[in-house]
This record gives sequence, structure tokens and C-alpha cells, in this order.
Amino acid sequence: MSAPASSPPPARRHQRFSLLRILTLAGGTFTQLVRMKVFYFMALFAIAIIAASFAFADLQTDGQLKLLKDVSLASMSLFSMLFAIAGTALLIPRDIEDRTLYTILCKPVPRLEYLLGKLLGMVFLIFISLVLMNLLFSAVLYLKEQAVLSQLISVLEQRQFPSREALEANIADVQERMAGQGLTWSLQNGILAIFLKATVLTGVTLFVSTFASSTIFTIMTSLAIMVIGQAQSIARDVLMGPDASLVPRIIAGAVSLFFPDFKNFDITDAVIAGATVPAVVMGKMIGLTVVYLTIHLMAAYILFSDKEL
Amino acid sequence: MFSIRPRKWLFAAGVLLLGGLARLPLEHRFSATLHEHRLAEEKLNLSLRDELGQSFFIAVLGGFRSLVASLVEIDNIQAWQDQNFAKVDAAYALCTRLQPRVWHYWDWRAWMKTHNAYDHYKYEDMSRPGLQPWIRQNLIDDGIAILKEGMKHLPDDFRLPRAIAWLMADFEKNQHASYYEASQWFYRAWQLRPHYRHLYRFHVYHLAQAPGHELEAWPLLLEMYHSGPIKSGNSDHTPSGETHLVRLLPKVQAMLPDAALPPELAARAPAILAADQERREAVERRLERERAQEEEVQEAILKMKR
Repeated sequence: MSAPASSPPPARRHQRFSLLRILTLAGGTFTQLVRMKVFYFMALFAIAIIAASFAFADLQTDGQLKLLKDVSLASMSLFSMLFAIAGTALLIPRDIEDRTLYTILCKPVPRLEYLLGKLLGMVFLIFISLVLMNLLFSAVLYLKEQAVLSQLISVLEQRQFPSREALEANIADVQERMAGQGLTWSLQNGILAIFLKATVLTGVTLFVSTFASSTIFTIMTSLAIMVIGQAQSIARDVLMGPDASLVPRIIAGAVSLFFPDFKNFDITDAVIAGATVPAVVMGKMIGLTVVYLTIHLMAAYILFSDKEL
Repeated sequence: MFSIRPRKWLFAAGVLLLGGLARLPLEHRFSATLHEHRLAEEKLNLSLRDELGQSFFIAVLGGFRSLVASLVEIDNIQAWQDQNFAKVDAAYALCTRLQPRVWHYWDWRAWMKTHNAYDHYKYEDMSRPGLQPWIRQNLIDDGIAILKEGMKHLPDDFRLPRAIAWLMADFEKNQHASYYEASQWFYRAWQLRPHYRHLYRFHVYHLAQAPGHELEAWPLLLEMYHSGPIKSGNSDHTPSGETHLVRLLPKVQAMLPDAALPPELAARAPAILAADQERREAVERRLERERAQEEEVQEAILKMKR
């Protein structure tokens, strides 16, 4: 006697918007980028910061720590921006070339989800890269800070001071100075700002790549937007200021309205100098990043939804 | 690019435009927040382009201002080793313009003038010895002016007023040194770092040595003496404070005949005065030795130049 035939599982209703699909696409994008051996840059980064930590021992101790932070944060910023532009510019053309795009879009996957998945995959790659760089940087900075501190205290203890009080005052001063110049939470906020800036740049590059005819066009256009974005605040000041005449105001208006203000993410100089960043500032910066992403993603979707592939 | 219909282009432009209009006030407010918390970079002066060169200027525009300032400082080491202090000052001036909120550059720019250049010019151009004190005093005055300029950008940093205080207390170098001025700068530094009690104590010690301010210093020194046992916790009771009390007593008694030391201190006063006298004599001997060495070096240089 044959077993009764089991009834087929009920067909799952197709969801118009699925977070799972987006995450699957993001995971695929991340794997695709990792296979391009992008993490080899870590070797260069390690060489840069280890060299910076040993170089120029002649500099005053504050100067040594500052140089290490300068080189490390500048490298993080540069690598993340290059990832954001070059990596994102490659995504859609590579999918077209590999025919992956057609395989994905012939299934009931909305184009918005495809774009979101690509964006998230890229952002995740930048995040992981920054976490790795940050771990290496934090370890080197901590070791350097401890070495400098013990060296300074032993020098102070060998010096002759008019009183024990003066020696203790000098040691307290050095300890506080080093605490401000070493590993701080503010530095982590600076690195978060680098990540947010790279995220906005990823959104911009994704938007450009939806209408670009070639990868090189996407890269050059995104680089130009990044450079203009660094000076957007000047245009905004002209636009909102009382003195400008009509023509400069129109030009400034166009720049202000169409380009993001990347200067708003440049807090690394202040954190390197030892400034503290309140949580509310970081909260607002994250909010601004979400606004930029939403605008660029919407514009990208409008163009991509109509694109003949 | 041309496979997209013009209508979609218009839509996308509309989204960017409306999004831009919506985000513009947000961006503006956020910039103001960054300025309020002193996190935004100071505005760039376009004349920096000539001083920095094209590539450095682009790096500065690209948000790498701190790195460029560090590179300018490193580039400056050779000038320092060559004792080209005009170039050193120009480089540090550039650093302070690039990063006016970095204490290190203001401090070092002033230090280079008031210590390194000061010592260098001591032996430079000995054929005009009459000019030397004038040059050196100018260096000290410039250093103090630099620190005061730095305070405009870093009003909350205690280290700049503290550096001025030390220069105002340096009677060997600074012809305009004043104990009272020094005490006021220490006080200002202490107000910015109230938990650094030693800054407060330095304020009182210098006030005690300022002619005409003895009666102001006396109650402060007594208060410090009574703040607790010597060398304990937050106590301001220190051996230096005791010495100043004992030294100040005759001057205060001339104005306030009832003034007296606490009994326990009065018993130790002769020993404290003797130790103080010994310390002062040792300092005087050291200074005389240094002056003699300095004169020897100056004579040797003059001979070589002849």
C-alpha cells in the first residue's frame, strides 16, 4: 500500500519588499568584493602606521602621537573613500558583464531591492575594513602611548625639581596630556565620521553608476562630486549670505542643492587635537547620513527603474 | 545614459532638488553645531595656497589638514637643526594657521622663540653686543604675544596661560618679568583646570613675592597652611607654602603688627629660614657660575670673529 501523497507546501506569497532578499544581495555583493582581494590593502596600512609609529623620534612626544594619528586616520579616510568610489563604480558594470544582473532581475526582485542590496554590501565592506584598520591602529597607538608615557616619567624622575610638589605636578601634567593624546573615545567617533562620509560617497557613486556609460565615467564623476562636496559649505554660505549678487547666488544654489556637504564629516582634525565629540553631534551626523542616502537612493532608483539593460 | 527617458531624468533632478531644499537647513544647522563644539575646521585663507604649494593645498582642501600640518612641522626639523629660526618661525606660523586649535603648535612656536632662538641669539652677532638684550627681549615679548594669540583660539586650554605665567616669572630672561603678572596668569590657568591645585598654589606663591601684594597673599597662605596635614590628599599645605609664610611675616607685620605665624610653624621658622637661605645661596652660586661660563664663551666667540 502506497503512502498517501503528501500535499505540496503552501506557496509563499511574494512580498513586494523583503529585507531577507536585500540582505542576501548584500551578502553576495560583499563576497563578490572580497573575492577581488580588496583586503590586501591591509598590508599597506599596517606598513604605514608601523612606520609612522617609529618615524621621527626626534619630534616632541606629543608630535609623535599626533603624527601616528594623522597618518592612520588619513589612511583610513583615503582607503574608505577609494573603496566607496572604485568598489561601487564596479558593482553594476561587473554584474552586467557577468550576466548576474539578468539572473537576479528576471526573478521577482524589485530594482530598488537590488540597489539597496548593492549599497548595503558595499557599506558593510567599508565597515569591516575600517574595523580591521581601527583594531590595528588602536593597538599600535596604545603601545606607543604607554612607551612614551613611561619614557617621559622616567626622564622627569631623573630631573632635579625645586620640590617634590613640582615633580608631582609635572608628572600629573604629562599623564593628563598623554591621556588626551592617546587612545580616546573621541578618536573612535572620528573613525565613525570617516565611515559615515564613505557611506554617503557610496550612495552618490551608486547614483552616478545607474546612468553612467562606463566605470571610468562613474569614478571620475564621483571624484569630482567629492571634491566639490568638500567646498559645498562655501557655496552654501554664499547662497544664504546677504551680500551675493544674482549670478553667484544661482551658481552657489545649484552647488548647494545638488552636492552633499562632505566637510560636515571632517571632525578628525579636531579629535586628533584631543577635542571631545558629544553623542548628540554623532547622532545628528548619523541622521544627516540617512537623509543623504535616502535622497541619492531615490534618485538612483528613478533612473535605474527605467534603464534598459 | 541615453536609455533613460527624459521624464525620468526630470524626476531624478526633482528628487535631488527637493532633497537639497529639505537638507539645506539641516546641513546649515549641523555646521553651526560643529562650530559651537569647536569641531569644525577654521575657514581657510586662500593665501595659504602660495605658502603650502599646490599639492599640499589640495590635501588641505580634501580634509587632510592635520596631516599637512604634521608634515610642515617635520619638514621644519632641518631648519631647526640649521638654527634658521626665521624659517622655523615661518613654519610654525603656518602650522598655527592651518590648525589654530592645536595647542602644540602655539606652544612650540612660542618655545622656539623664547628658549631656542633666545639661546641661539645670545652668541650670534657678538660684534654688536649692545643689540643682544634688545633682540632677546623682543623674542620673549613675541613668544608671549604668540601665546596670547593662541588663547583666542583655545580659550579653555590652561597650558597657554601657564606658559605665559612661567615666562612672566623668569627674571633671568625676561626684563618685563613680574611676580604679580605671573601670579595672575597662574590664577587664570587654575580657573581653567580647578583640579590642578598646584596652579592655585603657584598663584599664591608668586603673589606672596609681588611687592605691594603681601596682605593679599598672607590670608591665602594661612588658609593653605590650615587646609590639612602636609602632603595629604587634597591639602594645599606644602613645604613651599610654609617657607613663603615665614619669609612674608616681617613684611606683613610691618603693616599688621598683630600678624603671627601658627605656633607650630613659628617654632620651626628659624630652621625653615636657614634652609631657604642655603637654597637661595646655592641658586646664586649656580647663576654666577653660569654667567662666568657665558662670558667665557662670548669672549671666545669674539676672538674667533676677530
